[in-house]
Amino acid sequence: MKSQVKVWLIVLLALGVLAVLGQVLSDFYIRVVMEMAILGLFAQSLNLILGYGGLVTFGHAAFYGFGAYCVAILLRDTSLSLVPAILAGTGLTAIFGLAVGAVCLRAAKLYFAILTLAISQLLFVLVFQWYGLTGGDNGIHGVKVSAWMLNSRNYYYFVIAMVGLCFLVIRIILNSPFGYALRASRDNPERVVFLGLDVWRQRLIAFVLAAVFAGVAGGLYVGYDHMAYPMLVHWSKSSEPILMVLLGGINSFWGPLAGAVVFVIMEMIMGQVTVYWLFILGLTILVLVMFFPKGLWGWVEEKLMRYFGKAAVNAE
Amino acid sequence: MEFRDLLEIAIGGLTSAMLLFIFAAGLTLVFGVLRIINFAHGAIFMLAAYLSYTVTKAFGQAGYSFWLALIAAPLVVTALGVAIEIFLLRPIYHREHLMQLLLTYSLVLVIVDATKFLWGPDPKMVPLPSVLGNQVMLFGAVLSVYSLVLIAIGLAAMVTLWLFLNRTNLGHIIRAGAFDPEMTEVLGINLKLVYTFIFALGAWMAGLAGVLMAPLTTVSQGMDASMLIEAFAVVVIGGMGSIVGAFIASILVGMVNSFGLLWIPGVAIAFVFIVMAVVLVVRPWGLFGRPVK
Repeated sequence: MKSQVKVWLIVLLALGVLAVLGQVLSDFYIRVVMEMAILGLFAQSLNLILGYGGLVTFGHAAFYGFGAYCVAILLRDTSLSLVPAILAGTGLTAIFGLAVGAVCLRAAKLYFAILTLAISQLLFVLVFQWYGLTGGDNGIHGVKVSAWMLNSRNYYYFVIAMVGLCFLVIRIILNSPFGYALRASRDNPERVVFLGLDVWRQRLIAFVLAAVFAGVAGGLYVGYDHMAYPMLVHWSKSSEPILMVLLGGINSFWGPLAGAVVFVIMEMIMGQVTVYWLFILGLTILVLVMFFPKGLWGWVEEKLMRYFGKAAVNAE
Repeated sequence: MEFRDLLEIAIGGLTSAMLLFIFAAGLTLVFGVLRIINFAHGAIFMLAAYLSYTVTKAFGQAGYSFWLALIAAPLVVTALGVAIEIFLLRPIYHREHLMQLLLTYSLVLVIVDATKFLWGPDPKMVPLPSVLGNQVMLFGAVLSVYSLVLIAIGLAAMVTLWLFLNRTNLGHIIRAGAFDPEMTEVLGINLKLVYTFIFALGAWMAGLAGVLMAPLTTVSQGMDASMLIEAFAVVVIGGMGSIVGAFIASILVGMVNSFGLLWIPGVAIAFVFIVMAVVLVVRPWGLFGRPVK
């Protein structure tokens, strides 16, 4: 219990720092921090099924992109403002996630990975070719946004608040009986069935929740960049949250956020050095898989443990 | 619509089906024996297609340049496959599936960007040798010789693979290794070598498909993803690890694609996914697969 209090104190402190940063930082760095927060939420949504559910998906960008396109289309074609658009977009993403999850989860482990990738690629093809609705390869540019959002400082506080709220909700979900049932379904599905719980249903709920939070992140992205484009749905976009989760360590709550921070910094530096960003991305995943399977933070933790000879605090 | 139109569409569908089969058979073979989904299969396919462009360009004047590419490019990617298996996959077989998936996935990013670096973003053309560029008339339909040759190659590949797996000693060892790895090793068989061989064979087949595909379309970025997605559909429909399943499903997917283009151009692939969804609902392990946990 005490360590819980400590965690929330740190979170409050971090929020305080972020609030101050919103006043101090230049516009450029405000945008950088926003990107970290949005991608952090995207990575955390993946972590729900990948880390806590133990289900490997390679098509998570489908939901990020779906959420983004829903919001962009609603802003373009209706008079809705951003917040209702995000809410509506999230609802639509939930329905989409339910349909995809219901089909994909029928398949066993490896099939599931294939199917998620295949469906995300199908969505990419649709988005790419349906000019009337999605603008095809041009995407949707310059969506109209409310006046308050044009000030990036205002939008910064909005993003921090939304992402913070989502993290809180995810935390509550993971600490609920459902959260533990989900982890149990990952670790020992036979036993969970024996206990009278429906593994398939736990997974489907987790899948829909992951889609929902990815959809929120996608919606926030539209408010940030004022556009949606096909690469948001592309399979290579799905590799980004995977890398973030891997960087941070697969079984930790704060890992994905830390991974997103490192990722954005990496992208910033590498983007100036080379255009072969995917190559760097792939190479990083490769090195992590070969040498740091528990993530960078997990690796540091292990070294520390060996050094101090103490049990790890992180029991997740 | 007349018979000859139908015949042309059917032959077109069958041509892409055979290419798809050569590609998907490698994928399903690797999965069946190594229990690994090789996401990099498409990237290897694309790499071979680019290599065939380089070879045909270097020996462009010579009549044998395409045939040289057909031999050389798959061999180069086979060597790459051997290196990947020995240095990257072998150390992580004992780890959870996620790590193996992530590894082959990371290779996609690396290889795809490497081809972009080496050959640039512009599409490349690979010319057909004049013998194959001809056309023949059959029941009033105009068919290209190359299509017919591809169909023959596909059929030959199916027959060879089946005979190899079912009628040779090595084939029996491979099937035993896929069925029960531990027992096979206890019998004194070096499965490590078998795994390397299968992965190399898979890479070679991807490479072969890549070179054969190159003259049909342009060699360009993205050709890997579309092929891989179709192959995934094939493998899911046919059942993972089943060569016969891959063959039947390839024909199904090729035909659905070809005739689907008639009705809704551009999104014919959606039909394939509908077929896939139906199969998944009825038989989640595929038409010819066995239920897996």
